[in-house]
Amino acid sequence: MPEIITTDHVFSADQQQKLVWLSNQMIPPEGGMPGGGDDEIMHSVLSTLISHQDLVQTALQVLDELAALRGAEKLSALNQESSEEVIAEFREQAAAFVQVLQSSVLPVYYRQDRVLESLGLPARAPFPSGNVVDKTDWSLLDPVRNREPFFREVD
Amino acid sequence: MVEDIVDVLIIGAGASGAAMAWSLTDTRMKILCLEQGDWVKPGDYPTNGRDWESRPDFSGSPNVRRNPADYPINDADSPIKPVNFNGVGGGTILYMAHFPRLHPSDFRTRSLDGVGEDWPVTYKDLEPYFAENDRMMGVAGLAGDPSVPAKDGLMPPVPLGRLGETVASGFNHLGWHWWPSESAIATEPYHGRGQCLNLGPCATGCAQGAKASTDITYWPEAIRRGVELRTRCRVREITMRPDGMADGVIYYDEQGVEWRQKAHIVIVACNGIGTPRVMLNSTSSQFPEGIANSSGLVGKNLMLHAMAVTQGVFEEQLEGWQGPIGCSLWSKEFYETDPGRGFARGYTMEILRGSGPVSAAQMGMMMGAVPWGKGHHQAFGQMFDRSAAICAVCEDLPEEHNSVTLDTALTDSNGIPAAKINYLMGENSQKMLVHAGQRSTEVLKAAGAVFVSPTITSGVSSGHVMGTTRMGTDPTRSVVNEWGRSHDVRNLFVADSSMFVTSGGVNPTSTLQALALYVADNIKQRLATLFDD
Repeated sequence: MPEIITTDHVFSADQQQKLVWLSNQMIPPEGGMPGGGDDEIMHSVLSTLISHQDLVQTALQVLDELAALRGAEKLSALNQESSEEVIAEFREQAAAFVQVLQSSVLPVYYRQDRVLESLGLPARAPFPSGNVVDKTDWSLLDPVRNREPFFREVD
Repeated sequence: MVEDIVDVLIIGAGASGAAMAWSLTDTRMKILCLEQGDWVKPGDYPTNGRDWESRPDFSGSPNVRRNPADYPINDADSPIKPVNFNGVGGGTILYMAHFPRLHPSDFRTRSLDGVGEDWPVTYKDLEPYFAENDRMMGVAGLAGDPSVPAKDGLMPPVPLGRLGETVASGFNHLGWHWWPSESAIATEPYHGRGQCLNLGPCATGCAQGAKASTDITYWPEAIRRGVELRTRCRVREITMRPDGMADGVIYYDEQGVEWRQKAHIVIVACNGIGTPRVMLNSTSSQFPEGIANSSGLVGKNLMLHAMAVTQGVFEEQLEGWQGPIGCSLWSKEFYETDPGRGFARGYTMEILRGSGPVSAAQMGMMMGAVPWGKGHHQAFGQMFDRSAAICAVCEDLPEEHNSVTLDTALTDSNGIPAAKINYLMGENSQKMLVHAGQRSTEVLKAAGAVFVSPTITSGVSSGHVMGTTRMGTDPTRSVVNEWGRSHDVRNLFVADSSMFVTSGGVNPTSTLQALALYVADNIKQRLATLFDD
């Protein structure tokens, strides 16, 4: 069980587990990359979702129903195929929540050091270091330089 | 509470209000500017932090940002969503600093192409003000562009980077025009500002100060010359004197205290939505439908620039996340009218650099290119830093039904009615968007794109808001005259993009600032007879 799950959180342990499961379904841990449900990421995600409590509760009920339709009391009981079916239907039936979840997970996930480094990006803020862009070889413009002015002259 | 009278009261400290204030200091008049927002501290800009891609307080949309200085805009009835910024510097805080000028033909669309209206001024009239504005803001570019009139005084252009060079090769392959963008970005130290560090996301503010926002260009000079800039002061309405002249304004300070400020001259510079909003909120027995609105045109003829955004995915990495996102290169190949295309006027193709990983992931999921679950990482890896986009800025013709009105329910935090926009894209614009999408696709494929997404034309954001108090010589067909004074109220002026008669197919900031300097110069030259008929 992820370390972040606590009993005094606004979301119950069960709800937190489901949110972790959903986030991992969005971005799975694979190929050495963390999943969207990684502890470090979920800390921020859960904080963001606090302002969407009603939406979260409604969406998780939908998730429970979809799992139950496949005879699963717990999401962890779903096999890969069933999980994918549940997610496909969930994304349709809880579209508003899915938008919120994506808006919560992606900004946190794609600023993690491990993720940025795997993409070849510096794990830092853009300022003050900035970036180096090579000088342009303006001979690329030669075909255009030879063109006569073509804007319309107006008296 | 009532304050002493000032000579000139400017409402709004953005792109045009700043230029106007600075220019009018030559008169040594007592000038006050009221700005509903605050100064932005460089240390507050998102690029200072790791969360630089996800800061809602620096979103372009006031409806997302919801800062205390913002007023909401009801944009439910518009496929184009307006963006702005309320604070010292206004829209220049978040603009991309693309700095083209309107073309000479843009001022004569009726005469040349039988559409829109002719402006009461020409490119030649504005040329010295364009040059003066370029000097104040600092513009990078390359002289010799055959698509526009000659100009000089440019700093070296922003480097294209691998992404720009790749797309430029596509234009060369097709034999189409392209040129490095003119950008209000210091590519070398300029007037005390540091040079561009290629941070990337200019559209959330420039922590380096290389981007020319008016809080660091015009305002320090204007304040040094004696202008008083009062922030967190939101104007509710412009008041009238019995003799038909503007009296001043009623405004709220940061604590919500109501003040009256009298002025000999009132200048509105709140952009194409904010300006008509203030004017429509300024009702009186003389102007029950809003101040200076005898023509009924205050708020009408809103132009937003229809935009066609087309994205191509390439096999190689393009290093597009570094360098000014909006400023790379442009093409004016389809700018001037060609009757064979089936529409009048034209557009600029502006190449956008790639985004950071968060934006790329969000966009990828929105477009269905990056899935949930299995394959997510692979799909993201194939897309991130391998995408280039072309944004075609299409000339939007003035149509009276496109408008800014007052919302019947929505208000800002001071209870002042908010703006509502009603906008329908015209047939000419729709044809132009299709053409632009097709041509953009051709360029991207010629540049080597292995996949080109369908062109996006709806839901696009635009900070280009124009035309809602347009200028002209006929008081029945325009709100302000040929030098910015309202036809109805002889000490009331407008000095922003609201004055635009047509929109051109370029970003408006350079032209609206030149127009503000032109109006200021007219005020200076006509001081002795300023209020005469």
